[in-house]
Order: sequence, then C-alpha cells, then structure tokens
Amino acid sequence: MTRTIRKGMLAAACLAVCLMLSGCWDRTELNELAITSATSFDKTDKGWTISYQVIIPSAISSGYGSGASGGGSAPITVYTTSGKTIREAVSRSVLESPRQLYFAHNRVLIVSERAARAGMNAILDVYFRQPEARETVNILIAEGDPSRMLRQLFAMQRISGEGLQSLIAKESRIDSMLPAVKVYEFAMSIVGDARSGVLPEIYIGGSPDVNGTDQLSKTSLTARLKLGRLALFKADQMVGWLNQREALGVSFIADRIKFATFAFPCGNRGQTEQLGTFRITKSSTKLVPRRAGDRLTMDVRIRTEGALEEMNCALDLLDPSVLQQLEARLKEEIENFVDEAWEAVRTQKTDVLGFADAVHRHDPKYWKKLKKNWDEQFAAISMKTDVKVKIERVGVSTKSFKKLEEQDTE
Amino acid sequence: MKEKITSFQVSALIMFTIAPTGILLVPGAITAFAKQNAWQSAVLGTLIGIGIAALIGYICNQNPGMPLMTWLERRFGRWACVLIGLFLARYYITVSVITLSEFSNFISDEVLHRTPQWLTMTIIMLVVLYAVGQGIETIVRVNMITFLVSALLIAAGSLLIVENMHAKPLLPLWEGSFAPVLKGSLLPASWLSEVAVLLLLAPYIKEKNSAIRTGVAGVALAGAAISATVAVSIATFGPKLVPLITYPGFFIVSVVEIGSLLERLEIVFISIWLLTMYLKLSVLMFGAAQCLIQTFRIRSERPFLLALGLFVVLNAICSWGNAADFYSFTVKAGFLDLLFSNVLLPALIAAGLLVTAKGTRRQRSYDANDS
Repeated sequence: MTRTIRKGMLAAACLAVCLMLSGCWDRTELNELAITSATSFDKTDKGWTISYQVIIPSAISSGYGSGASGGGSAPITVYTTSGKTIREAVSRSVLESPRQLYFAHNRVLIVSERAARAGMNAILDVYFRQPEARETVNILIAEGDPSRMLRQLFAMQRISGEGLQSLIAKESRIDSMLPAVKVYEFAMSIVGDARSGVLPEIYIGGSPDVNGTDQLSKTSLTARLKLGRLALFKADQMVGWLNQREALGVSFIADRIKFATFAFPCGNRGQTEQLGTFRITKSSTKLVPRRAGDRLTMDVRIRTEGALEEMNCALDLLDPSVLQQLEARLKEEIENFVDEAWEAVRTQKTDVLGFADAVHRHDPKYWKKLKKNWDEQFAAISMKTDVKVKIERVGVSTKSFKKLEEQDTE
Repeated sequence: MKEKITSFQVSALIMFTIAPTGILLVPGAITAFAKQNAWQSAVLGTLIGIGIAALIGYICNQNPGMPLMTWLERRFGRWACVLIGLFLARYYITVSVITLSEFSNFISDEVLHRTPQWLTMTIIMLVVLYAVGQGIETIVRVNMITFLVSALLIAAGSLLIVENMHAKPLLPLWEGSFAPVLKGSLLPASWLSEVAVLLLLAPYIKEKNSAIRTGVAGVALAGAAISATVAVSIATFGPKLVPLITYPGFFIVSVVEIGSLLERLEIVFISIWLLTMYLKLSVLMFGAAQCLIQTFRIRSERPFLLALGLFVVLNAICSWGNAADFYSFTVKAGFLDLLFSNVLLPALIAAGLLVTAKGTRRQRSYDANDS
C-alpha cells in the first residue's frame, strides 16, 4: 500500500515539474505577438522614428497572392513610433498596438540617409545588445522617408520584408554590383583596419506607391521597389554615394565578384556604338602593396573568366585572334570600371577597397606607421591595375548574326 | 569504492567539466588582448594545461585506490587532511557558485528574460543534486550520451559554418610581441587546470595507473574545443568584433543561413550546451560534497547534499550585485583561485608525497604482506 502511495506521489511530483516547463514568467502566446518582417529607422532633431512592417497572419493564410486576384486585406501593416532613443521608441509601440513586437523574424533594416549620415552606432548597439534581434538582418539605405519602402507591396512576394531580402541576396549573387550586407558584416567592416563600409540603396521607382492589394490586380504596377546606388561609410557615418558603374568597380577591386553581366564595345578602338555582352562566371582579385620610399603603390591583379552572351559586331568567333581582340576590349572596359571606382573613393578618402587590410597583412610594421593617418595615405596611393580576361565560351552560336547577314550581302 | 568507470569515460567527463564555460567566455576575453593571435594563446594554454594534467595524473597514480581525503589523511595526518579538505571544498563551492551564476545569467540573457534568477537557479540545482545523489557512475553514463550527441552535432555544425569563415582575419600571423599571446594563454590554462577534479575521480577508474593518460586526454579534448572556438570566432567575425560579443561560440552558429531552410541553428547547440552545463555543475558539486563528506566522515549524505545545494544557490543569488561585479570577480579573483587551488595546492601535495615517499613504500609493502 505504502508503495502505491509512493508511486502516486512520484507521479504527482513529475506532473508538478511539468508546470515549470511552461516558460515561467516568460510565457508567450503566439497570438499575442506582432511579428515584424522589416523595420526602418529615421532620425530627426527630436530623436528616433522607427517603423515596423508587421505580418498579419490571417491575411497571409487566406491566400493573398496565390490567386493573384487582388483585393482583400493587405498581408502586412505598417506603423510608426518615436522616442529619444531607439528602444524607447520601440517601447512606445504598446501605446498603439495590442500585440507585442517580436523581432526574431525581421528580415531587413532600412535606414534613412539622414540617420545614416548622423551615425549607425546606436542601431548596431541595439542589435548586438538585444538577444532577440538577429544580426543576420540585411541593411539597406533609403533617401527620404524609409517607412515608404515598408508600405510598398510586391506582386510576387506576400511578405514584402522577405521580398526585399531575396531581392538584395539574389542581386549580390547574380550581379555582384551591390553587396548584400548583414548587420554583423557591416559592424565588422567599420571596426576593421580601414574603418569604412558600404551599404546598398533601396528606392521606389514610379508613382503612386503600391500600398493596397487592389493596386496589385493590374499586370503592371505603378511603382516598384528597386536597388539603386551604393552608400559609402566612413566609420559609422555615411559620407556619399557611388553610382552602379562605380559600385561594380568597387566589387572588382574588393574581390566581391561572383557573377556579373555587362555590356562592352566590341568593335575597333574608338567605336562605341556596337556592343557585346559578357557574363563573368569566375573572377578573383589580388591586392599587392609595394613600397618605394614613402610612396605606396597598390597592384590590383584581376583575373576574370566568362562567356559571351550577346554579340552585335560582325566577327568570326572561331578565330582565336578575334577572341584575343575581344579579350583586350573587355580588359579595357574592366579597367574603366576600376578606374572610375578608384577616383570616386579616393575623392571621398574612404577605403572600401580592402587596401588597409592588404597593407596590414603584407607589412605589419609599415602599417603601424600608416594607420594613424590612413585616410590621407589612402588618397595618396598610386594604383596599378593588371587585368586578364579569358573568354571561355561564346555560346552555342559561333558566328555573330551580323556576320551571316554581311556574308549574304557580299 | 563500489562504483567503477573507465579511463575514457573520465576523459570525456573532464572535457565537459572544462569546455562548457570555456568555449563561452574564453574567446572574447583572450581575443581582447591577443587579437588575431588569440588562437595561439589558446593552443599555448592547452600545452600548459597538459602539463598541469600530467602533474595531477602523477599525484593520482600514487593513490592506491582510496578516496582522496582518506588517502591524504593516511599520508599527511588528520590535521593536514582537514585543512586540505576544507580548502578544496571551499574551492569547489566557489566554482559551483560561479558556474551556477554563469548558467542562470545565460538563461536570463538569451531565453527567459523575465523569469527571476532564483527560480532558474533552484530548478538547475535540484536537477544537479539529483545527479550527485545518484553517484559518479550515473553522471559519467549521462555524460557519454551527451558526448556522442555533441560530437555528431559539432561534425555537422563545422560543415555549415565553413562558408562564413575567412582566413584573412587571422592574418598577419606573428604581428606584435609575444607578450599578449603569453598573457592570453594564462586564461585558458587556468580554465584547463580544472582537470584537478581528477584527484577525486581517479580512485573510481577501472584501469590502474592510467591517471596521467586520462587527464591529458581530457585536457587535450577541452583545449582543442576552446582553441577551435577561438579560431573559428576570429575567422568569422574578425578580432575586433569577437570581444564585443558575449557568447561568440553560439554567435558563429546563429549566422548560418542556408536559404530559408536552415537558420537560427543556435537553439540546437544551446540545447546540447545546457546538458553539458548540468554535467559540469554536477561534477563540481560532486567535488564539493565529496571533499566535505570524506573529510568529516558524513554519513547522512542526502540531507547534507540538500543543505550544500541551498548554500550554493544562496551564494549565487547574494554574491554579486550586477554583471560588472560578477565579471571582474571571475576574471581577477576567480582566475587566481583556479591557479592556486588546481596547480599550487596539487604541487604542494606532490612535494609532500615525495617527502613522505618513504612512508608510501612502507605502506605498499604492508599492503602486499596483507594481501
């Protein structure tokens, strides 16, 4: 009998222990959370203005987008709060939302140019201090009001925060012009030797903005979210913009090219009307610093391989000398990208090319002397480019269409 | 001395007595002063740790298989035994208090933000007391299961983290003087000196005279885990960011994203790590309890364990006002305490053994005659 009582008590104790597994004081119900998919930060004289793109679960499960029928309720809602500090602004959200904000599924962070120029330290601090925030979030910069980007809907992605992240991730993988930069990667770059970084721009092309599902019922949207320029940062403050050609040049020098496609003049030197398209499939860059007295020279050795994707010049692509000629033109074009990028970053005295790291690793003692005044030293460097391009494939057609046409007329 | 465990099981237990807090707190602290060379500090620290393990193993091999305190009493007399017993018990209680605080701080920081720490500490201590009450053989068996699971997980994890690693942050290799590397090696070495728990575990090992091998293997495993975490943290985040991150070991895994299929994997690693923390705390509490039980020949072990557990929990709650107090204590005082209790005291014991070696020989011949 006592054994049965003992067993019973043990079972009761086991059940009582289960009560402790419910999360104690931190018990959270899923339907009490406002899951954010994107956040934007703006800074004014009064403090921070934070906007949140919050997912509406019921609207997503009701099949928006799958039938492309349009109408119905929006899958997201956006609201804005303000405060003297970032977390104060976030805590103000309880004044207007019945649900508690939950940031673990946040995908992108859009920072206004104004806030970026004032400094990113506060944002980074919050991201590294809050255990809930994930540092794998992508950062984008927006000129003007960043909350506009959060309100904009995608035609093919239900949750636009997720859409934005796929947009930048695909671009950086397929085109290499603008890098997809995560919070921790940005933090790494601005505390690195060069103390500088880059972030891509997001903007809305067209008007009016697509803010309602009824606007999605048309085949062509009036406005779309687009990736634009590349923002330059010196320490945590934004200092300027690079255009897309310059951004591609930066990617070449900083060895960030995975794949890229660009047009180049394929005719004789000086003729720029006839163009071909080259797709890079493999590229690597080596930076070799050389010292001559007090003068620093940087050898930039770029080795690129790829395939022709389009040819508008009348050329016989089975002739090796023709390919050599094309490779020379491609080399010139890449040198142009690199030179334009170099001029742009040199004027801004912002080393986003990895030169500081290269000097530090190559000659640590010399780096010790240079690092105090690196921005000036960087601008005084003379850069020498050595580009080698290899056309590996010309596609499944060996002659250009134009060549066939010309042969017929002869 | 009924319970028997193998040498490999003890090596694995030593690894999990050292590594759980080591991989969590060592990378940030040593990268702060040794920068990109911090992994060299960890390797150097491991070599020093192996030396300490050999010393501890040497002492253990002198023990004919008696419980530590009983043996020391026979060799050095009652008063020396009481002094050593009290000192070691104080050390194990202090380290248990620190480990319990680290454990509950982590849970408060990462998982249960609003739950009061006294509750998490009490729950953790109840589980640990249950384990200690079951005996060392049970702890060792649970440890082997955890060891196998974590080995599989680490193998899978290393494949996933390779993509985010770069060699550049680890270069240039020999920049600056060797002094910061040497200074940095003291912290992992002090952590690895926790191998001294072997003094208490050795009498339970089946294989005779295997203590040196057991200790060295345990330290080598733990040292390899710490060194690898340091190197991977720097290769992933660079030497400047690592000191900023409180728990770099988990941060490495948290940045793994393979499409939207695999992400936020740190929760899997945290789950296994929680198991290893229970094991670490169980071993330390086992040490504290055994020192007192053997020294003062306590018979009613269970009520004593409860009292000891309560004492440790209250100490953990009341000792430090805030995170800064706790950090400065563990880095300054805790570090010295580790070296003093795990290296200096065993060195004194070894010296004492050499001096009283005559007595041992006499004892051995007596034992031989007896059998």
